[in-house]
Amino acid sequence: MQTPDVNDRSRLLNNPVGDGSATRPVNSYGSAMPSQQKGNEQSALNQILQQTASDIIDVAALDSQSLEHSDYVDRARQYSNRLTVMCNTGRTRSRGWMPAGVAAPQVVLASPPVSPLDVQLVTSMAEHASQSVREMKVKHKEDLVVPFTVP
Amino acid sequence: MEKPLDRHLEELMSTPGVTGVVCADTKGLCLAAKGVGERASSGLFSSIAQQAAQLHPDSKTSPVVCLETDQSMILLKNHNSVTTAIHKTLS
Repeated sequence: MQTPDVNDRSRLLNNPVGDGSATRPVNSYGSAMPSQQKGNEQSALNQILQQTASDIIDVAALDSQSLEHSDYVDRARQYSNRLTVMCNTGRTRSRGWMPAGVAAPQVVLASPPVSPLDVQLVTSMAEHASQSVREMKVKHKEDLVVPFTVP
Repeated sequence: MEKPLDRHLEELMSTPGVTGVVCADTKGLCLAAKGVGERASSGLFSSIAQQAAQLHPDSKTSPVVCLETDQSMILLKNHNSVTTAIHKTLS
């Protein structure tokens, strides 16, 4: 069985609104059109297709980019090293995040309990903070989508 | 956007004895920090407040947790998914 002719003259968009049964390019402008104009139309169409193809960033295809195995191993080692460094520095820094321990626990334990004023202070502050956070809204100041400079 | 929260925190910081404050969400993300309050400790505060709340699961209000040290204390309280930690000197 012979396949339909596909060469540099065949159209890329073949009868887009048709029923798909046409194997030959259909000239929607009729056969009376001069051949030179057809050529111009063809080149203009190709130009549009090329321009569109170069302007489009196919986001779905980005994930499917294959990574060389050696690159994969290199990156894995690099991330692993960085993670180790981060963990080590984090452990030494973490001493500063919380206050130092108690030298004499019995003194702290024997001290009077937390005063109601302090409890009231933190309770009211927690309510204010929660209220403020709930009322927090993002203000629109500038466009999030920035158009690329397409010539 | 965060001005009301900042205003409350500034008022709190002017309270005698208060040396710092940290606000965090349930995931431990630091929403605000002032004074000696460390941004990096927001996760710990959020976690401690949530763990303490599990001691009394039937309680309608979350507990106030007080971490006491020799010189200062940290008061923790969770309210509607926002944890507030106040650093205070011992009076």
